[in-house]
Amino acid sequence: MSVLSVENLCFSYSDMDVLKNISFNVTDGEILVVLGQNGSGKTTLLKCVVGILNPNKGKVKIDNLEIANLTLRERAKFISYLPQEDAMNFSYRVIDVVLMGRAPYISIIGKPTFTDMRFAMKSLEMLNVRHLATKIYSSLSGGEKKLVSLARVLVQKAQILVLDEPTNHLDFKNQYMFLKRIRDIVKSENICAVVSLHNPNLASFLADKILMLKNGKVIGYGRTKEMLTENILSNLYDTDVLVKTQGKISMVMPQIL
Amino acid sequence: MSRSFILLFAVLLLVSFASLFIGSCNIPIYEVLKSLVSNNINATYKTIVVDLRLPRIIFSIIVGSGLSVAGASYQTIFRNPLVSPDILGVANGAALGAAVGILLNFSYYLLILSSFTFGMLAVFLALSISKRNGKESILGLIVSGIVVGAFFTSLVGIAKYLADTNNQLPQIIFWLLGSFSFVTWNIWPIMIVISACILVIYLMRWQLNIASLDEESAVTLGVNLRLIRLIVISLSTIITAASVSVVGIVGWIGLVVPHLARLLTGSDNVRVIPATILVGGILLLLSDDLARNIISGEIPISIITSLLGTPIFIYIYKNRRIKI
Repeated sequence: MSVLSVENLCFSYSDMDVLKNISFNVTDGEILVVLGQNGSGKTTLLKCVVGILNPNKGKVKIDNLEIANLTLRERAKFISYLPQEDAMNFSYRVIDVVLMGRAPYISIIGKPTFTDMRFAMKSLEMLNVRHLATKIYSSLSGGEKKLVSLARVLVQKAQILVLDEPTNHLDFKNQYMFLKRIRDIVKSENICAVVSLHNPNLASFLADKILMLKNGKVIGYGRTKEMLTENILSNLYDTDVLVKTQGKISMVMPQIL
Repeated sequence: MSRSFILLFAVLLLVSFASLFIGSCNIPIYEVLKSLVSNNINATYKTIVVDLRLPRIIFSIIVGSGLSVAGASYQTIFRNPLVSPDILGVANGAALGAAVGILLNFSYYLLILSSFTFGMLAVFLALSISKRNGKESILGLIVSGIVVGAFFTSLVGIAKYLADTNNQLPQIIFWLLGSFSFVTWNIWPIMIVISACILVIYLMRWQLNIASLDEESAVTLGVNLRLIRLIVISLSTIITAASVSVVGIVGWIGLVVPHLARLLTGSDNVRVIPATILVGGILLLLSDDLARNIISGEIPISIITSLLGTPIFIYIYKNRRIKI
């Protein structure tokens, strides 16, 4: 059983504190969603977790290994990351993009082997987009691009997935389709995921646990049901929020009208 | 290996072989063949074929491959399809080195050394200027490359102004236009150095795919982007400085050939890099064949490569193969 744990993490850009004493943990088969307003520190937190940014204080640990002590390559075998935007400047084929996820396993003078290729095709298959393999990545629709990027993240075979606002640019149906795929994979592969989202309704659909960030501080952390209450959400978004619960699903709406 | 690579390789061999037979001195075909395999032959013919034409053919292939591979890797690591190997000022630096050498009446080998050193110096300057607040960025590299290039070009201007107009000025101008006419076997160490650099980039070609991603993606894939960039910039600088120091400026090859290769293979660098090496070799060899055979004298190589390169570039651009 592996556990991602973050202990008292602090981060600041020059003299501005962005994250203050953040702690949480996620275990196998579990999805943690990070909610918060724009600028609350969600992306910064994820970047600290994957090691793009170095926290000023605190620790990020996988089991008992501190990630700051791992090499880039070792770290990439434990944690994979889907950034908000993918920068592809060349007309790579989808299969080439997915194979990039094998980088932690390929030496500086190596290239993907037949086995890497099989992993890549399998990961496209898992997301039902195998037919896109030879298409040019930049010619795909937004939804297809997201799925291909997710396939690249999955082929990295990491125990921990970190996804930064993965539903951006997706339409209503595709947002739910995409999150359902993530949910299915986390459960079937018994891995864990940390996902930042804007929409609490999507969080209610995806999350096992929710972490709420406001001005860089945790104002709520717990099981999804306990977190999606009118009080906590109103405090998080600085506006009155209405929550209707039907069965397992909670519907969240701001009371702006 | 796929069919297109075998075809390209065959074309390269064919063009190289054919190039042995053409030149200002008309040597019968069987004499050319004999001079390659036997010693029992007219000494002048042997000298022309083995000591003049052969090293020139080999070096133009190496320089063509080298500049093209440097261009392809620069376009990838700078994530910009309009970048050429002299983006960091290496050619301008090498030009100043050569101009200084001509002004000071250096010997041929000292001139090569001076040109190579100034080329490396220019890139070193660009790299050290590029950092802002201790951070390096692609934009910073390109901006400092342009500034350093412009600075060295103005120094070349001073060198031209000071040069004696009968002797030195024409020499500088011809050097700036490039030519393979001085190539002999004596520059074999340079051939080996450039070939070795090409080989290392060839081996690292898959990493170039990762290096074309943004820094954050590369880091989370476990790739040290700064190290890859440093290696590629060092190798490309050595290739370009070494080439330019011997033959002068060779324009357009490094910019156009990678695009031609991508037309043939797509964007995956595992295939782009070998195709670039082959196409670059073929194109520069053909250009040099034209340069030494169109008229009775020699046409500077850059004139030919620019005349060939510009329409090819327009064609690729019009067909929307270049994302700008």
